Amino acid sequence: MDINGHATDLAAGVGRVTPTAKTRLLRRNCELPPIPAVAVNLLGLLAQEEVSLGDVARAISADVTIAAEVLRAANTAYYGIRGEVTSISHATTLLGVSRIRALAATIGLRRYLGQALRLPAVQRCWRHNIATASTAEQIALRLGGSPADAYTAGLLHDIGRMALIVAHPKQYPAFLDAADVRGLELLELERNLLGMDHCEAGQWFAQQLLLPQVFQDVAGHHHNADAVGPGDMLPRVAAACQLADWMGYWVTPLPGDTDHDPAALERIAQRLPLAQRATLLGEVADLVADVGEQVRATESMFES
Amino acid sequence: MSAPSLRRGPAVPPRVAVTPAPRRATAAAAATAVAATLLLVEDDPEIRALFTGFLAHAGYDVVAVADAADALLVLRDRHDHVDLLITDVVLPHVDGPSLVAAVRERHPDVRVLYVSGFEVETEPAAAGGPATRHVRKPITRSELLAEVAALLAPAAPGSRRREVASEFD
Repeated sequence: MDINGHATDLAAGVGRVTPTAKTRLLRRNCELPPIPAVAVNLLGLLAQEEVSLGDVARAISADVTIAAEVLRAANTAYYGIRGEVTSISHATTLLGVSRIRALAATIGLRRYLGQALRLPAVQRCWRHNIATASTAEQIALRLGGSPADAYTAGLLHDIGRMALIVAHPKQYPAFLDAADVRGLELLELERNLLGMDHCEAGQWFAQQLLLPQVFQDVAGHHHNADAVGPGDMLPRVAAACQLADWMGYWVTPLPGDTDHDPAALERIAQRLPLAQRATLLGEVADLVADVGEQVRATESMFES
Repeated sequence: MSAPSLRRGPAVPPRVAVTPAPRRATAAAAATAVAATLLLVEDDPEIRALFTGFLAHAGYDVVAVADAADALLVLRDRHDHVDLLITDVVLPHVDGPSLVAAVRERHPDVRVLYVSGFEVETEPAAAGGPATRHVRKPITRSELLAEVAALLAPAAPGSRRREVASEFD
Protein backbone atom coordinates (compact mmCIF):
# COMPACT_ATOMS: atom_id res chain seq x y z
CA MET A 1 0.00 0.00 0.00
CA ASP A 2 1.37 3.40 -0.85
CA ILE A 3 2.11 6.05 1.68
CA ASN A 4 -0.83 8.15 0.58
CA GLY A 5 -3.27 5.39 1.15
CA HIS A 6 -1.69 4.53 4.46
CA ALA A 7 -1.95 8.08 5.73
CA THR A 8 -5.52 8.38 4.56
CA ASP A 9 -6.51 5.13 6.19
CA LEU A 10 -4.79 6.07 9.41
CA ALA A 11 -6.44 9.44 9.42
CA ALA A 12 -9.83 7.85 8.86
CA GLY A 13 -9.19 5.53 11.76
CA VAL A 14 -8.19 8.15 14.26
CA GLY A 15 -9.69 7.45 17.64
CA ARG A 16 -10.34 3.79 17.03
CA VAL A 17 -7.84 1.03 16.39
CA THR A 18 -9.17 -1.05 13.54
CA PRO A 19 -8.08 -4.65 13.06
CA THR A 20 -6.94 -3.72 9.56
CA ALA A 21 -4.61 -1.02 10.79
CA LYS A 22 -3.22 -3.32 13.41
CA THR A 23 -2.62 -6.15 10.97
CA ARG A 24 -0.86 -3.76 8.65
CA LEU A 25 1.40 -2.52 11.41
CA LEU A 26 2.23 -6.03 12.51
CA ARG A 27 3.12 -6.95 8.95
CA ARG A 28 5.39 -3.96 8.68
CA ASN A 29 7.08 -4.90 11.92
CA CYS A 30 7.68 -8.40 10.60
CA GLU A 31 9.67 -6.83 7.80
CA LEU A 32 11.97 -5.01 10.21
CA PRO A 33 15.67 -5.61 10.13
CA PRO A 34 16.17 -7.81 13.16
CA ILE A 35 17.97 -7.03 16.35
CA PRO A 36 21.29 -8.87 16.02
CA ALA A 37 20.77 -12.50 16.87
CA VAL A 38 23.60 -12.51 19.36
CA ALA A 39 21.90 -9.83 21.44
CA VAL A 40 18.61 -11.73 21.40
CA ASN A 41 20.37 -14.97 22.32
CA LEU A 42 22.12 -13.31 25.23
CA LEU A 43 18.90 -11.76 26.49
CA GLY A 44 17.25 -15.16 26.30
CA LEU A 45 19.98 -16.63 28.44
CA LEU A 46 18.72 -14.49 31.30
CA ALA A 47 15.81 -16.87 31.67
CA GLN A 48 18.14 -19.74 32.34
CA GLU A 49 19.14 -20.30 35.90
CA GLU A 50 22.57 -21.66 35.12
CA VAL A 51 24.51 -19.90 32.41
CA SER A 52 28.15 -20.69 31.90
CA LEU A 53 30.75 -18.19 30.88
CA GLY A 54 31.47 -20.44 27.92
CA ASP A 55 27.86 -20.17 26.69
CA VAL A 56 28.01 -16.40 26.83
CA ALA A 57 31.42 -16.20 25.15
CA ARG A 58 30.27 -18.51 22.36
CA ALA A 59 27.08 -16.49 21.82
CA ILE A 60 29.03 -13.26 21.47
CA SER A 61 31.73 -14.75 19.28
CA ALA A 62 29.07 -15.88 16.79
CA ASP A 63 28.81 -12.29 15.54
CA VAL A 64 32.17 -10.84 14.62
CA THR A 65 30.97 -7.25 14.58
CA ILE A 66 29.30 -7.48 17.96
CA ALA A 67 32.31 -9.30 19.38
CA ALA A 68 34.63 -6.55 18.17
CA GLU A 69 32.44 -3.87 19.74
CA VAL A 70 32.23 -5.78 23.03
CA LEU A 71 36.01 -5.99 23.11
CA ARG A 72 36.32 -2.30 22.28
CA ALA A 73 33.88 -1.37 25.02
CA ALA A 74 35.51 -3.70 27.53
CA ASN A 75 38.78 -1.88 26.97
CA THR A 76 37.33 1.53 27.78
CA ALA A 77 38.18 3.13 31.08
CA TYR A 78 34.58 2.79 32.28
CA TYR A 79 34.97 -0.83 33.26
CA GLY A 80 38.24 -0.18 35.06
CA ILE A 81 39.96 -3.29 33.76
CA ARG A 82 43.71 -3.15 34.05
CA GLY A 83 45.63 -4.40 31.07
CA GLU A 84 44.37 -5.17 27.61
CA VAL A 85 41.30 -7.35 27.10
CA THR A 86 42.18 -9.42 24.06
CA SER A 87 39.45 -12.03 23.77
CA ILE A 88 35.75 -12.45 24.39
CA SER A 89 36.49 -15.21 26.88
CA HIS A 90 38.76 -12.84 28.74
CA ALA A 91 36.16 -10.06 28.70
CA THR A 92 33.43 -12.41 29.88
CA THR A 93 35.56 -13.66 32.73
CA LEU A 94 36.51 -10.15 33.82
CA LEU A 95 33.10 -8.51 33.49
CA GLY A 96 30.82 -11.38 34.43
CA VAL A 97 27.83 -12.85 32.69
CA SER A 98 25.27 -10.18 33.58
CA ARG A 99 27.49 -7.26 32.67
CA ILE A 100 28.62 -8.73 29.38
CA ARG A 101 25.01 -9.49 28.51
CA ALA A 102 23.97 -5.91 29.26
CA LEU A 103 26.85 -4.66 27.15
CA ALA A 104 25.96 -6.88 24.21
CA ALA A 105 22.31 -5.80 24.45
CA THR A 106 23.35 -2.15 24.35
CA ILE A 107 25.51 -2.73 21.30
CA GLY A 108 22.85 -4.82 19.57
CA LEU A 109 20.03 -2.33 20.12
CA ARG A 110 22.17 0.54 18.95
CA ARG A 111 22.99 -1.32 15.78
CA TYR A 112 19.28 -2.08 15.32
CA LEU A 113 18.51 1.64 15.19
CA GLY A 114 21.15 2.07 12.49
CA GLN A 115 21.05 5.25 10.44
CA ALA A 116 17.96 6.49 12.27
CA LEU A 117 20.30 7.56 15.10
CA ARG A 118 21.22 10.59 13.03
CA LEU A 119 17.82 12.09 13.84
CA PRO A 120 17.59 14.22 17.00
CA ALA A 121 14.36 12.51 18.11
CA VAL A 122 15.98 9.09 17.83
CA GLN A 123 19.04 10.34 19.69
CA ARG A 124 16.73 11.48 22.49
CA CYS A 125 15.10 8.04 22.53
CA TRP A 126 18.46 6.34 22.75
CA ARG A 127 19.69 8.66 25.50
CA HIS A 128 16.45 8.15 27.44
CA ASN A 129 16.95 4.39 27.15
CA ILE A 130 20.53 4.57 28.38
CA ALA A 131 19.49 6.87 31.23
CA THR A 132 16.60 4.59 32.23
CA ALA A 133 18.91 1.58 32.14
CA SER A 134 21.54 3.39 34.23
CA THR A 135 18.90 4.62 36.68
CA ALA A 136 17.47 1.13 37.08
CA GLU A 137 20.98 -0.11 37.77
CA GLN A 138 21.62 2.59 40.34
CA ILE A 139 18.30 1.81 42.04
CA ALA A 140 19.30 -1.85 42.24
CA LEU A 141 22.67 -0.90 43.73
CA ARG A 142 20.83 0.97 46.49
CA LEU A 143 17.80 -1.23 47.03
CA GLY A 144 19.11 -4.68 46.13
CA GLY A 145 18.85 -6.97 43.14
CA SER A 146 21.10 -7.55 40.16
CA PRO A 147 22.32 -4.18 38.88
CA ALA A 148 23.24 -5.54 35.46
CA ASP A 149 19.89 -7.24 34.97
CA ALA A 150 18.12 -4.06 36.06
CA TYR A 151 20.21 -2.19 33.49
CA THR A 152 19.15 -4.61 30.76
CA ALA A 153 15.48 -4.34 31.71
CA GLY A 154 15.75 -0.55 31.65
CA LEU A 155 17.46 -0.69 28.29
CA LEU A 156 14.62 -2.76 26.86
CA HIS A 157 11.71 -0.83 28.36
CA ASP A 158 11.27 1.24 25.19
CA ILE A 159 12.00 -1.51 22.69
CA GLY A 160 8.57 -0.74 21.26
CA ARG A 161 9.68 2.79 20.45
CA MET A 162 12.65 1.37 18.62
CA ALA A 163 10.37 -0.91 16.63
CA LEU A 164 8.16 2.04 15.74
CA ILE A 165 11.20 4.10 14.72
CA VAL A 166 12.40 1.39 12.38
CA ALA A 167 8.90 0.72 11.04
CA HIS A 168 8.08 4.43 10.57
CA PRO A 169 11.50 6.05 10.13
CA LYS A 170 10.16 9.43 9.06
CA GLN A 171 6.75 9.70 10.67
CA TYR A 172 7.48 8.51 14.18
CA PRO A 173 10.53 10.75 14.79
CA ALA A 174 8.52 13.69 13.39
CA PHE A 175 5.74 12.76 15.80
CA LEU A 176 8.18 12.67 18.73
CA ASP A 177 9.47 16.11 17.78
CA ALA A 178 5.96 17.58 17.72
CA ALA A 179 4.08 15.65 20.40
CA ASP A 180 4.82 17.68 23.51
CA VAL A 181 3.04 15.35 25.91
CA ARG A 182 4.11 12.33 27.93
CA GLY A 183 2.63 9.34 29.64
CA LEU A 184 -0.85 8.13 28.87
CA GLU A 185 -1.72 11.04 26.58
CA LEU A 186 1.32 10.30 24.45
CA LEU A 187 0.25 6.66 24.20
CA GLU A 188 -3.20 7.79 23.07
CA LEU A 189 -1.70 9.97 20.35
CA GLU A 190 0.53 7.10 19.19
CA ARG A 191 -2.52 4.87 18.88
CA ASN A 192 -4.32 7.57 16.91
CA LEU A 193 -1.44 8.00 14.49
CA LEU A 194 0.01 4.51 14.15
CA GLY A 195 -2.74 2.23 15.38
CA MET A 196 -0.55 1.04 18.23
CA ASP A 197 1.29 2.68 21.10
CA HIS A 198 4.91 1.98 21.96
CA CYS A 199 4.00 -0.20 24.94
CA GLU A 200 1.76 -2.44 22.87
CA ALA A 201 4.42 -2.53 20.15
CA GLY A 202 7.09 -3.31 22.74
CA GLN A 203 5.23 -6.19 24.28
CA TRP A 204 4.51 -7.64 20.86
CA PHE A 205 8.09 -7.18 19.70
CA ALA A 206 9.52 -8.72 22.87
CA GLN A 207 7.21 -11.70 22.38
CA GLN A 208 8.37 -12.07 18.78
CA LEU A 209 11.98 -12.08 19.94
CA LEU A 210 11.11 -14.71 22.58
CA LEU A 211 12.58 -12.49 25.27
CA PRO A 212 12.02 -13.54 28.89
CA GLN A 213 8.66 -12.65 30.39
CA VAL A 214 10.12 -9.96 32.64
CA PHE A 215 11.29 -7.99 29.59
CA GLN A 216 7.92 -8.43 27.90
CA ASP A 217 6.22 -7.05 31.02
CA VAL A 218 8.56 -4.10 31.26
CA ALA A 219 8.19 -3.24 27.57
CA GLY A 220 4.41 -3.54 27.71
CA HIS A 221 3.48 -2.05 31.07
CA HIS A 222 6.02 0.55 32.17
CA HIS A 223 3.40 3.30 31.79
CA ASN A 224 0.76 1.35 33.68
CA ALA A 225 0.73 2.60 37.25
CA ASP A 226 -1.30 -0.36 38.45
CA ALA A 227 0.73 -3.06 36.78
CA VAL A 228 2.48 -5.49 39.05
CA GLY A 229 4.50 -8.52 38.14
CA PRO A 230 6.53 -11.13 39.85
CA GLY A 231 9.47 -9.52 41.59
CA ASP A 232 10.12 -5.80 41.69
CA MET A 233 11.60 -5.24 38.25
CA LEU A 234 8.53 -3.64 36.64
CA PRO A 235 7.86 -0.91 39.25
CA ARG A 236 11.55 -0.14 39.46
CA VAL A 237 11.96 0.25 35.71
CA ALA A 238 8.75 2.30 35.61
CA ALA A 239 10.22 4.58 38.27
CA ALA A 240 13.57 4.66 36.46
CA CYS A 241 11.83 5.71 33.23
CA GLN A 242 10.11 8.60 34.98
CA LEU A 243 13.27 9.52 36.84
CA ALA A 244 15.16 9.68 33.56
CA ASP A 245 12.55 12.19 32.31
CA TRP A 246 12.84 14.07 35.59
CA MET A 247 16.61 14.31 35.21
CA GLY A 248 16.20 15.79 31.74
CA TYR A 249 16.71 12.67 29.62
CA TRP A 250 13.24 12.97 28.08
CA VAL A 251 12.07 11.96 24.63
CA THR A 252 9.28 14.50 24.21
CA PRO A 253 9.58 17.96 25.72
CA LEU A 254 6.78 19.41 27.78
CA PRO A 255 5.74 23.05 27.49
CA GLY A 256 6.98 24.80 30.61
CA ASP A 257 8.68 21.67 31.89
CA THR A 258 10.93 22.22 34.85
CA ASP A 259 13.56 19.66 35.64
CA HIS A 260 14.09 18.48 39.18
CA ASP A 261 10.62 19.37 40.45
CA PRO A 262 10.46 17.97 44.03
CA ALA A 263 6.73 17.26 43.85
CA ALA A 264 7.24 15.20 40.71
CA LEU A 265 9.98 13.27 42.46
CA GLU A 266 7.62 12.36 45.29
CA ARG A 267 5.10 11.04 42.79
CA ILE A 268 7.76 8.95 41.05
CA ALA A 269 8.91 7.46 44.35
CA GLN A 270 5.37 6.22 44.94
CA ARG A 271 6.01 3.65 42.26
CA LEU A 272 8.19 1.85 44.78
CA PRO A 273 7.18 -0.02 47.93
CA LEU A 274 6.78 2.27 50.92
CA ALA A 275 9.86 0.92 52.69
CA GLN A 276 12.09 1.75 49.71
CA ARG A 277 10.89 5.29 49.00
CA ALA A 278 12.86 6.99 51.74
CA THR A 279 16.07 5.32 50.61
CA LEU A 280 15.57 6.47 47.05
CA LEU A 281 14.61 10.02 48.00
CA GLY A 282 17.48 10.28 50.44
CA GLU A 283 20.03 9.33 47.84
CA VAL A 284 18.59 11.04 44.82
CA ALA A 285 21.37 13.60 44.51
CA ASP A 286 24.04 10.91 44.40
CA LEU A 287 21.89 8.83 42.08
CA VAL A 288 21.55 11.71 39.62
CA ALA A 289 25.31 12.23 39.62
CA ASP A 290 26.02 8.51 39.14
CA VAL A 291 23.50 8.22 36.31
CA GLY A 292 24.99 11.25 34.60
CA GLU A 293 28.44 9.75 34.75
CA GLN A 294 27.19 6.40 33.50
CA VAL A 295 25.29 7.93 30.60
CA ARG A 296 28.36 9.90 29.54
CA ALA A 297 30.53 6.79 29.80
CA THR A 298 28.10 4.71 27.74
CA GLU A 299 27.86 7.38 25.07
CA SER A 300 31.63 7.67 24.94
CA MET A 301 31.86 3.98 24.09
CA PHE A 302 30.20 4.68 20.77
CA GLU A 303 32.08 7.81 19.85
CA SER A 304 34.30 7.21 16.88
CA MET B 1 -4.66 39.95 -7.11
CA SER B 2 -6.98 38.19 -9.47
CA ALA B 3 -8.31 34.84 -8.51
CA PRO B 4 -6.34 32.01 -10.01
CA SER B 5 -7.91 29.75 -12.52
CA LEU B 6 -8.20 26.41 -10.87
CA ARG B 7 -8.53 23.21 -12.76
CA ARG B 8 -11.93 21.72 -12.52
CA GLY B 9 -12.46 18.94 -10.08
CA PRO B 10 -12.10 15.38 -11.19
CA ALA B 11 -15.10 13.23 -11.86
CA VAL B 12 -14.00 10.83 -9.18
CA PRO B 13 -14.48 11.73 -5.53
CA PRO B 14 -11.56 13.60 -3.93
CA ARG B 15 -9.06 11.74 -1.82
CA VAL B 16 -10.42 12.90 1.44
CA ALA B 17 -9.87 11.69 4.94
CA VAL B 18 -12.76 12.69 7.14
CA THR B 19 -11.79 12.37 10.74
CA PRO B 20 -14.55 12.80 13.27
CA ALA B 21 -13.57 13.99 16.67
CA PRO B 22 -12.85 11.10 19.02
CA ARG B 23 -15.53 10.41 21.57
CA ARG B 24 -13.23 11.04 24.45
CA ALA B 25 -10.77 13.84 24.11
CA THR B 26 -8.46 14.34 27.03
CA ALA B 27 -9.47 16.87 29.63
CA ALA B 28 -6.74 19.29 28.61
CA ALA B 29 -7.60 19.10 24.95
CA ALA B 30 -11.33 19.30 25.54
CA ALA B 31 -10.83 22.42 27.59
CA THR B 32 -9.27 24.25 24.65
CA ALA B 33 -11.13 22.88 21.65
CA VAL B 34 -14.42 24.29 20.46
CA ALA B 35 -16.75 22.41 18.16
CA ALA B 36 -15.41 23.21 14.73
CA THR B 37 -14.76 21.65 11.36
CA LEU B 38 -11.26 22.14 10.02
CA LEU B 39 -10.16 21.64 6.43
CA LEU B 40 -6.49 20.64 6.30
CA VAL B 41 -4.65 20.91 2.98
CA GLU B 42 -1.20 19.35 3.15
CA ASP B 43 0.53 17.40 0.42
CA ASP B 44 3.03 15.61 2.69
CA PRO B 45 1.10 12.49 3.75
CA GLU B 46 3.03 12.06 6.97
CA ILE B 47 2.57 15.63 8.13
CA ARG B 48 -1.06 15.42 7.07
CA ALA B 49 -1.57 12.33 9.22
CA LEU B 50 0.34 13.90 12.10
CA PHE B 51 -1.66 17.13 12.11
CA THR B 52 -4.92 15.24 11.61
CA GLY B 53 -4.13 13.10 14.62
CA PHE B 54 -3.28 16.08 16.83
CA LEU B 55 -6.37 18.07 15.81
CA ALA B 56 -8.80 15.18 16.02
CA HIS B 57 -7.40 14.19 19.39
CA ALA B 58 -8.10 17.73 20.58
CA GLY B 59 -11.75 17.34 19.63
CA TYR B 60 -12.00 18.95 16.21
CA ASP B 61 -13.67 17.46 13.16
CA VAL B 62 -10.92 17.31 10.56
CA VAL B 63 -11.21 16.90 6.81
CA ALA B 64 -7.78 16.29 5.31
CA VAL B 65 -6.87 16.54 1.64
CA ALA B 66 -3.64 16.70 -0.33
CA ASP B 67 -4.19 19.57 -2.75
CA ALA B 68 -6.23 22.65 -3.63
CA ALA B 69 -8.47 20.90 -6.13
CA ASP B 70 -9.63 18.37 -3.55
CA ALA B 71 -10.05 21.16 -1.01
CA LEU B 72 -12.43 22.99 -3.34
CA LEU B 73 -14.39 19.82 -3.96
CA VAL B 74 -14.76 19.32 -0.23
CA LEU B 75 -15.98 22.88 0.19
CA ARG B 76 -18.47 22.41 -2.62
CA ASP B 77 -19.76 19.15 -1.17
CA ARG B 78 -20.06 20.65 2.28
CA HIS B 79 -21.71 23.82 1.01
CA ASP B 80 -18.67 25.73 2.20
CA HIS B 81 -19.26 24.82 5.80
CA VAL B 82 -15.74 24.84 7.15
CA ASP B 83 -14.76 26.87 10.18
CA LEU B 84 -11.06 27.05 9.48
CA LEU B 85 -8.84 26.36 6.49
CA ILE B 86 -5.35 25.12 7.38
CA THR B 87 -3.13 25.02 4.34
CA ASP B 88 0.47 24.60 3.37
CA VAL B 89 1.82 27.55 1.40
CA VAL B 90 3.49 25.40 -1.22
CA LEU B 91 1.17 22.83 -2.75
CA PRO B 92 1.24 20.92 -6.02
CA HIS B 93 -0.51 22.61 -8.99
CA VAL B 94 -2.12 25.45 -7.04
CA ASP B 95 -0.42 27.01 -4.05
CA GLY B 96 -1.98 27.81 -0.69
CA PRO B 97 -2.44 31.58 -1.21
CA SER B 98 -4.13 30.96 -4.57
CA LEU B 99 -6.45 28.46 -2.92
CA VAL B 100 -7.29 30.96 -0.21
CA ALA B 101 -7.93 33.68 -2.79
CA ALA B 102 -10.31 31.38 -4.64
CA VAL B 103 -12.15 30.44 -1.47
CA ARG B 104 -12.40 34.06 -0.36
CA GLU B 105 -14.05 35.07 -3.59
CA ARG B 106 -17.15 33.41 -2.23
CA HIS B 107 -16.38 33.62 1.47
CA PRO B 108 -14.26 36.65 2.31
CA ASP B 109 -14.32 35.94 6.02
CA VAL B 110 -12.99 32.41 5.99
CA ARG B 111 -10.36 31.94 8.67
CA VAL B 112 -7.02 30.69 7.47
CA LEU B 113 -3.93 29.23 9.06
CA TYR B 114 -0.94 28.96 6.76
CA VAL B 115 1.62 26.36 7.70
CA SER B 116 4.68 26.92 5.58
CA GLY B 117 7.88 25.00 5.18
CA PHE B 118 11.23 26.34 6.01
CA GLU B 119 13.05 29.57 5.27
CA VAL B 120 13.20 28.94 1.55
CA GLU B 121 9.48 29.58 1.26
CA THR B 122 8.55 33.21 0.91
CA GLU B 123 5.30 34.60 2.14
CA PRO B 124 3.41 36.16 -0.77
CA ALA B 125 1.50 39.35 -0.15
CA ALA B 126 -1.77 37.65 -1.02
CA ALA B 127 -1.30 35.32 1.91
CA GLY B 128 -2.65 37.87 4.35
CA GLY B 129 -6.19 38.94 4.99
CA PRO B 130 -8.76 38.90 7.74
CA ALA B 131 -8.48 36.22 10.39
CA THR B 132 -5.31 34.87 8.92
CA ARG B 133 -2.28 33.57 10.73
CA HIS B 134 0.95 32.04 9.64
CA VAL B 135 3.27 29.52 11.27
CA ARG B 136 6.39 27.79 10.12
CA LYS B 137 7.26 24.13 10.39
CA PRO B 138 8.45 22.52 12.49
CA ILE B 139 5.55 23.18 14.83
CA THR B 140 4.68 21.31 17.98
CA ARG B 141 1.27 19.93 18.86
CA SER B 142 0.56 22.58 21.46
CA GLU B 143 1.68 25.40 19.14
CA LEU B 144 -0.62 24.10 16.41
CA LEU B 145 -3.55 23.83 18.81
CA ALA B 146 -2.87 27.32 20.16
CA GLU B 147 -2.89 28.82 16.68
CA VAL B 148 -6.11 27.04 15.79
CA ALA B 149 -7.75 28.08 19.05
CA ALA B 150 -6.67 31.69 18.53
CA LEU B 151 -8.22 31.76 15.08
CA LEU B 152 -11.45 30.15 16.22
CA ALA B 153 -11.82 32.40 19.22
CA PRO B 154 -14.48 35.12 18.80
CA ALA B 155 -11.95 37.90 19.39
CA ALA B 156 -8.73 36.62 18.02
CA PRO B 157 -6.93 39.93 17.34
CA GLY B 158 -4.92 41.52 20.08
CA SER B 159 -3.90 38.25 21.60
CA ARG B 160 -0.35 37.62 22.70
CA ARG B 161 0.33 35.78 19.47
CA ARG B 162 1.62 37.56 16.42
CA GLU B 163 -0.81 38.53 13.72
CA VAL B 164 -0.08 37.83 10.13
CA ALA B 165 -1.01 41.31 8.92
CA SER B 166 2.06 42.82 10.47
CA GLU B 167 4.26 40.34 8.69
CA PHE B 168 2.91 41.13 5.28
CA ASP B 169 2.69 44.91 5.54
